[in-house]
Amino acid sequence: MPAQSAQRRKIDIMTTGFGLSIGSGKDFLPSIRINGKDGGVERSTWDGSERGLEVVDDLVCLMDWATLQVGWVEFTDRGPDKRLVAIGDPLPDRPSEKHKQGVQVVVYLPGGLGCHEICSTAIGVVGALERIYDASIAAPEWQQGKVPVVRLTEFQKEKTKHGNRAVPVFEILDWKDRPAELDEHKAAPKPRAAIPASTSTSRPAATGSTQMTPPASVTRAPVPDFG
Amino acid sequence: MNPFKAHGLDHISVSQLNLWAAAPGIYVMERLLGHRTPVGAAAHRGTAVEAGVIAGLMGSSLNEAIDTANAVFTERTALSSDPRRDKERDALAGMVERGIELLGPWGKPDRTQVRKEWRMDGIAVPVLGFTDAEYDAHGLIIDLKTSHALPSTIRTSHARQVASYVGAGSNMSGGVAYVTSKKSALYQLENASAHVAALTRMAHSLQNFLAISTDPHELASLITVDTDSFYLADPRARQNAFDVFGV
Repeated sequence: MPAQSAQRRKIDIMTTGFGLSIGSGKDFLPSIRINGKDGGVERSTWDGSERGLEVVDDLVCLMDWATLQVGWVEFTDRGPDKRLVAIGDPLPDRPSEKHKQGVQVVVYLPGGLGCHEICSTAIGVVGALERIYDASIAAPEWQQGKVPVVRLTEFQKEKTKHGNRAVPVFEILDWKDRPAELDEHKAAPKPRAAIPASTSTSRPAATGSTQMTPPASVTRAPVPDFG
Repeated sequence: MNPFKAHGLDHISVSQLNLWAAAPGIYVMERLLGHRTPVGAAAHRGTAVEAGVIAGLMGSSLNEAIDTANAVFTERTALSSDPRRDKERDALAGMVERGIELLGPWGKPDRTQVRKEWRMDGIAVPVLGFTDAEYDAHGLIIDLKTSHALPSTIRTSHARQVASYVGAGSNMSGGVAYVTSKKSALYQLENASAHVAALTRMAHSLQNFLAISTDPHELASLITVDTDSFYLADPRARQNAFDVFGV
């Protein structure tokens, strides 16, 4: 089923911040949630005033790897806490034991839905994204600046010692020119030479050439003769 | 995974950062690719003299302290083919004596070989080091260095080393004790925080470099080495450099 005619059903009005970066205005993007445990895809319908989710039966999108970020994510009931960097930048320190390694990529949905972000720490989802990432960036079309049209074709159910897992399978359907909207979300690594700027003076610090002398021998003050 | 751990590095040291700054190619060859060449007799001389001086400061007689230095040197250089071995051995006694003369008046250290671990802002792994001697009464941390020529000022690499100890959360001041077989001098460290800041920037440059690739061979392909460098004086090191960099 093409994405343009994907059946969408409003299922809930969320009272907590499922959407990402809420409140920051310019940085706000609605999200797509891929359920790595039971399968299924949902899209946040946050429009700035009302939060909700709808099921996406057939996820087809422009998946722009130029927006890919990696790092540490903790999903909480107040929303995700993300410490992400562009590929190529050093990973930040792990903020807490609850933060897991995760990835985030911005995708472009058809039908006027525009940019959404997919963020996940689920091993199966991250692994699937990594596979389609590898396939994408190895393609000549990627080198030409095009963006893959990707479909989530199915979920493969697995049983692990930690429980059930639903691993999405992505497929590249086609390649398209990058919409201008995606350009705004590119994640470029910091310049390689980026290091903390010196806050000291404009010349190298002296090391020291003053010779140290040992303390004088401790001598007791003479004790008065009390007779 | 952070760039250091991606290369099997769970900590860094000031000496590693100094090596990275002085000879990045040698750093990659030795630390990332594992082609390490045994250190020369000069390095063992430093270790031996340090052991002897510390023994003397802790109460051993001068002869016992020199014996300690000789024993450490003999043990460390038993399999060494370094032609400078005999020259270095001959210098031990004088260096130990000069070291004890220089530091003896400061009294018995409260601690020796103290492990220091601290973190730099934005660097994913801790920095580890060991101080040579600490004096609580004088608020002083001293690093002992041996040389055949007495420096007139603290060398920058040594300043960074002591600064990292002083800057690691203590209110101690730092000094570098230089001894030759005939002379000695104890210099007071200046601008410790500036040297720590320099170390931090060096660590960031190393971290950025390591982040380029998890493949050390790819990193090696980005740089090369100065084949006249004293780091490559040993024929085995020279061969390693040729094998890695092709020069």
